[in-house]
Amino acid sequence: MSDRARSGRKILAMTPTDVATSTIAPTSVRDAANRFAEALASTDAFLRLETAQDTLLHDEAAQGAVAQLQELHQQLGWRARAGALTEVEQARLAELEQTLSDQPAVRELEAAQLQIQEEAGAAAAVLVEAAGVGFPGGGCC
Amino acid sequence: MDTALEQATHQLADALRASEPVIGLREAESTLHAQPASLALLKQTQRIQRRLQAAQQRGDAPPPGVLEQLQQAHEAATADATIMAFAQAQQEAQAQMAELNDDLSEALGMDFASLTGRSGC
Repeated sequence: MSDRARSGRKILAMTPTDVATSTIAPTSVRDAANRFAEALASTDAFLRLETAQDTLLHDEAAQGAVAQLQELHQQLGWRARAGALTEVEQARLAELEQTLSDQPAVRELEAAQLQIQEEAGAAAAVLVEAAGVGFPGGGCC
Repeated sequence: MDTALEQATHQLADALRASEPVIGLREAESTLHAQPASLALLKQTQRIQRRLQAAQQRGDAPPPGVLEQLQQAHEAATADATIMAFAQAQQEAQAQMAELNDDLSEALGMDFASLTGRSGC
C-alpha cells in the first residue's frame, strides 16, 4: 500500500456502540471494505495514479501551463463559459489547452486515470450489481 | 482485474448481498413485483419524472399538464404502502453505499466513486 493510502487510511474497526447494536452482516461489510481498500491501494494502477499526481504537482512546465490557462480563463471571464469569444481568443485558448495536454506529466496522469478507472470501475460494477443500488453520484452503473 | 483485488471485490460483494439493507431491498422489490397495480403506478410516476427532466435538460418549460400529472402520481404513490416500503428500502441501501464510499475514500485518500469513472455518468 502507498504512503498516502496508508496515512489516509481509516481503520474500519467497530466501535463499542457498533458491537452492541449491529448484526453480523454490517460488521462483515466493514471488514470486507477494509480488505477491498487495501487490495485496491496495492494495485499497480493505484500506485501509478498517486505517482502521476505527485509528479504533476512538482512539474514546473506543467504547472506553468496550468497557470497560463487559468489566467486566460480569468481574463475571458463569463464569455469563455458562454462560448462568446472572438476567433483570436478562441485560438489562444485552444493553444494553451493544447500546450497543457501535451505536457508529459499531464499525459501520464490521464493514462493513469484511465488505468485506475478500468480497475476500480470493474470492481464497482460488481459491488453495484450486488447492492442493487449505485454509489453516490454514479448515475449509470 | 488484479487477482487480489478481484478476490477482495467478490468478498465485499458477498458481504453486501448478506447485509440487512440489501436483503431488505430485494424483499421490497419482490413484493413490488408481486403487486401489478403498485408497480404500474411507480413506473407511471417515473415516466412523468423523466419527461419533466428531459424538458428541464433541454431548457424547455414543462409540457402542459405534466406538473399536475406528476403531483397526482406522487400523491397516489405516497398513499401506496408497497411503493413506500420499496422507496424506504432503496434509501437504506443507498445510505449503505454512501457510507461504504465514504469509508473507502477515507482509506484510499481520494474519492472512490470518482476513481471508478462512473460518478455522474
